[in-house]
Amino acid sequence: MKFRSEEISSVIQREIEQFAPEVTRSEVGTVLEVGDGIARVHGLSGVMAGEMVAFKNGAKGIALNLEEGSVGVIVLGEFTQIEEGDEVTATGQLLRVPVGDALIGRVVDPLGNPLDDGGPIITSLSRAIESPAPGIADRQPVDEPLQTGVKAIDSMIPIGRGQRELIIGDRKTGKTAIAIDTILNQKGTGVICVYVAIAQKESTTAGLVDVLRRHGAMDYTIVVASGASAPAPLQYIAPYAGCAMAEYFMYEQGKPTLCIYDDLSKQAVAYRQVSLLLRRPPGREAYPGDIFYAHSRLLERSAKLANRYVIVPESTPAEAATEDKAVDGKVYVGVPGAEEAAHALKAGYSTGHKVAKTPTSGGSLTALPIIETLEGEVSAYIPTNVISITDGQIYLQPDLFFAGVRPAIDVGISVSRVGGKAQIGAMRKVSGGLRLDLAAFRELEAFAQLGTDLDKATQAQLDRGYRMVELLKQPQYRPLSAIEQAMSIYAGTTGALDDIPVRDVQRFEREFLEFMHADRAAVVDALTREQKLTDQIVADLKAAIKDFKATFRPTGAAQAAPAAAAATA
Amino acid sequence: MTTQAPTERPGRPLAQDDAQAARSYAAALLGAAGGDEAVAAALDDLDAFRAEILAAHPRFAALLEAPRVPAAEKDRMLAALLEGKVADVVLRFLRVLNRHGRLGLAAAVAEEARRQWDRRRGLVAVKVRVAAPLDEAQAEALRKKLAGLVSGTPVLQVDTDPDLIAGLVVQIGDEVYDASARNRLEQIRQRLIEGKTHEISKRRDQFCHPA
Repeated sequence: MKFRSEEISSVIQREIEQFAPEVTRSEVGTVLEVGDGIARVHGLSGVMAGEMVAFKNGAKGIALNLEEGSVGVIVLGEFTQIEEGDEVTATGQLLRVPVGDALIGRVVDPLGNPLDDGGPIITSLSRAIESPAPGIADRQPVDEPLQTGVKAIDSMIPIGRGQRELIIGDRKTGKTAIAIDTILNQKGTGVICVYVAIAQKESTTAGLVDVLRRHGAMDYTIVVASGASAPAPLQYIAPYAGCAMAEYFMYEQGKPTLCIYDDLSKQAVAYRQVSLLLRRPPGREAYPGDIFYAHSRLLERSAKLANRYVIVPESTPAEAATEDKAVDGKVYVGVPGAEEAAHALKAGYSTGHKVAKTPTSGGSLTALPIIETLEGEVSAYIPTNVISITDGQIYLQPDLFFAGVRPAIDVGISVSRVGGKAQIGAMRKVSGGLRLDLAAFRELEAFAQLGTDLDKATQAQLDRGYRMVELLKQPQYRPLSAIEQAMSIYAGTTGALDDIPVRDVQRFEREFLEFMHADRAAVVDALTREQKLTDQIVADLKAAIKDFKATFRPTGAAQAAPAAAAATA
Repeated sequence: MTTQAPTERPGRPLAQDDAQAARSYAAALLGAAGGDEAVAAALDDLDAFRAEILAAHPRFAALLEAPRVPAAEKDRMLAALLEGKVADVVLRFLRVLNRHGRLGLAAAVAEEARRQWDRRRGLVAVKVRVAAPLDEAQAEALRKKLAGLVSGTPVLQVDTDPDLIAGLVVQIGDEVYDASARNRLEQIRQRLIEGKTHEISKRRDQFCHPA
């Protein structure tokens, strides 16, 4: 396609003819000093706290400190080109980032500028990076699971949509791996994922984007990256920007979203730097006094929004059931609203009508913040803060990691405060046994190391524990569906593994699941449909385990084992 | 008597307690000087002291500021230097500042006093940048127009800036009214970029992703 130059000039001509010149009124100041991502500006006497300001070189900034005689501004972008005496203009707006479908599959910086090679991001939609969290009336209880695909988490530390679950652990314990597995497991579920990399090495982020791309996860993921070399103000705003991008899908499209902040300890460090340079007084560990608020207001924006119901004619398709289509002009909100709507339907519109959820309601934003601890020190300032804000935490232990238990989740001290309600029935049933087995195992484990003679029952509990620990091991990038997890954990808790050598447990599980999918697809289908363990399914599962065990050969017992391992590799 | 408000680039902002002190001293100076004539003369003298001594001889200014030089010494210097050359009240004022160890604030106080004095008389400093010099009639028309915009009497400080191409830019306090040709051209440019990027991309998408 060729553009003709006359065409372009006619467009410009038309634009000029239509142009009504107006005197622009703006509020200005002058740069007094600049450095380390901070500018001190004289003037701007009417600027608001948190307002976006524009520098002469095009860089943006946020007015954070309003003082007598000067304004402290954090510079988002290149500050080396800003000079003393430069003009600064107030914009009258809060900082906004582009949002919308155009961002999906993209790698962007915290201002929404593309960092990948996908061309400009063209969207007319934008959202303020700081926005108030939804209130009580706008929310509803967490009741849907967000499957991470990690057995240890989905069974014992279940996460619900709209929950905030902290992932905490030392460096190199697999925190990011859990987050990535969770993103991979959202394939086909309609969950939009936002991964915010804060002060990560660019090489790490590039590797991660590559993994997501290879597994097809970039089709529903946005990566917001502020590298280790990015200015501290950009690292500071990155999680808020990522949250705003996810919020768009939650509020405007009613979609479930997942936001991963990797990691908030680095964001806290960036904010500490900014605050100290702005001469705000340092508090504990030199963090500013509002560091708790910085994290709590971010995480509070995660929510499960209330469903909104309307009564519409039977023939209305789901996506057309908007609030203005309600036949009685009423919108029923949340869990009580659902009951009211059913009641109203019964009372007023007996035939030809139905209760429908509006398509843009009921979205959710699940947050998985990550915190890095030093030497397992969870009582440091930032970890305690974030632990107290979130609805539970997943602890990762280096000891477990190096002992080969991966994911290295310490199930004893990891909790989830709301997710239990969000588990599917089958999982809730099998995981109860798992928890008990592991608790008993932890109590006895110390005895076993003493080498004392143990009675038979104790030895049996220990053996069960070793097998359960083995069963919960899971390789990276191999998330399992909830049904698969329920089946393998069922096998473990019912004692089917007790006579399998510990080193064969993982192979047993792998081959068992293959067997179920290949030979007992009917049972898998029934379980997928029912989502809970009915008597029939339990009987079928028992039979399937028995049949499979008849064919399973422990390593070394026969020549078949290496061949089977090779086939599954 | 000058009516010109000082409008050079602002210095480093004072610490909060220094700013407070400067305000108090400035108010005291205006009170001590008495009538309008005397205040105007005192402020002119202070400005001259600031421009001809402090600004012209930074090392002497540093000496006056230095706390290690005894106050009595500085007092002698001030008297020898200014006796008879400035209004009595100005010299007395500087000596009081010196006695209180606040001679470093002299310039800030002068500036603050001028500001307070202007405010008291209802003078508002207005910076005007024009593309070509204003003639008398234009300046008068502008002054009339501005009188309606500001509360008080506008005091114009007119600079010529050919970069504006045409038109003028008026700054009152921190507010800038930009009616220059440069700004209008920039507005057209932004509108063209914003409007057309969207249009072009929409058409491009029609080719790339047929719906």
